[in-house]
Amino acid sequence: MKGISSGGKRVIESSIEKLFNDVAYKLLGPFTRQSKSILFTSKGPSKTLAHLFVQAMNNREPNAKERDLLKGLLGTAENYISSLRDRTKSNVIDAIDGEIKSKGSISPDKIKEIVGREMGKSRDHMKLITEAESTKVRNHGAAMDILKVGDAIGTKDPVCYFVVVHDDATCKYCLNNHLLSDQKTPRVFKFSQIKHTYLTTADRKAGEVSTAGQHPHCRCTLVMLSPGFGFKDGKAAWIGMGHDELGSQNTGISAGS
Amino acid sequence: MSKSIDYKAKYQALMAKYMASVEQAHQMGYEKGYNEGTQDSQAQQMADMQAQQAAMMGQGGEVDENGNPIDPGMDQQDPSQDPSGMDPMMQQADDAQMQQGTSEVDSKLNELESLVAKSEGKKLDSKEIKELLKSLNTAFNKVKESSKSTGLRKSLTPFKKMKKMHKQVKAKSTSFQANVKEAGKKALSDQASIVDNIMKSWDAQEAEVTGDISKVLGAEGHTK
Repeated sequence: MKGISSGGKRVIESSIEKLFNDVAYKLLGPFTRQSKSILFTSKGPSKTLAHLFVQAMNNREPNAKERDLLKGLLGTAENYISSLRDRTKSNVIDAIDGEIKSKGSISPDKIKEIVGREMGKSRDHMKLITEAESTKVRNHGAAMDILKVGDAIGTKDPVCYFVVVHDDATCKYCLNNHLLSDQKTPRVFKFSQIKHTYLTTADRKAGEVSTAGQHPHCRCTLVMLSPGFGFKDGKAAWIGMGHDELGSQNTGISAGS
Repeated sequence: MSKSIDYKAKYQALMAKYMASVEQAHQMGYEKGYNEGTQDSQAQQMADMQAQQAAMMGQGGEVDENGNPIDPGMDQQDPSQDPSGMDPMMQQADDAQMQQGTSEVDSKLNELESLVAKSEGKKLDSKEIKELLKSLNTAFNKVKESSKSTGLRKSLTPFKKMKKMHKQVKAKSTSFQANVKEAGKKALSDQASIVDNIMKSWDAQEAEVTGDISKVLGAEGHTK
């Protein structure tokens, strides 16, 4: 049985591509788009990943190194979106083509059902990409700010911690890996101890932390702890000259365990 | 012979002294700023709690699992902010006026009821009724006026807004508020809005894709 013509497939592909290109433009802004089509628009998106990066860097003009990092992060996000776009195109076309070939024709309801199912899967995936990549970009921006402040005070490897948004939705990994056992005091790390890639379940269970967060849409924010500072009732507070929070937490943990 | 002066040592001593004083001033300033910030936030929390308690007592409505009043019929407003900017004394006066008016209406109604009960089967004194109705009308007007006042509006603080505010406070816990810079807080809320915008854009365009596919299949004669 004859399926969809190659011309028909191209039209379906371009319709799906348009959706993905628009979404990618809204997320990445006028960044290098792999699509050859030109997007005509009178205004750009107000909030993109680049905006988030600068915002997390305390609204500072990024230097050349930071711009390169941002380009890399945007490139990664774009690759994820491109791969999802190609997969969605082939899934939708294959599902419709298969239905036509097996039954001879397709009803409008069936078209809606197939497109809804396939686009629904892609929507979930797109949300995951958006959430995960925005978390990563936000925390990388914060990390850049931390490194700059660390440089200014002469610390090559600053002490950092994650501020956890503590509510009903906070996951157990954020609580366990970003806080001490009292679930209040932030756990501190050397900057070099923090990973910069997505964590696997095994990593999370092993107590690893990353600038990409513990999971997609992780709301925990990376913050620097200045020398002499520690925590009082979960809030950063001046303890005294020479106070080493990392050392005291490690001693506390080893003494407690 | 005059003793030679070691300017370098003097400079270094002065510099060390200066650096120490700068550091000390910085620490003191930081500590002071932090303490003031903590005091402010505590005062704000106390005020919020008092406002919530007052509103709960005034309404006697349902409360949720967190002890916050629930009224889904009302729209959202932050109770910590008083849009009227009204003086508490004025509000108390309004409340008192409102209470007085309500009790006056109650007493007049009771009087009317008793009059009607007494005069069952008899002819009513029209002058007495007229007077009573006039005073009842005045009392009603008092209540009406005070209900227009900002005091009453304030006492009818929309509880749904309070619930939302509580959720926000809960969501962004105290340690988050204290430990994250403004830019970091803004970045987190921007992240949420970016994700929302992307998903809205997706939803708006998904229907277009279905329409385009239906058109193509229809044009090629594949649809039933």
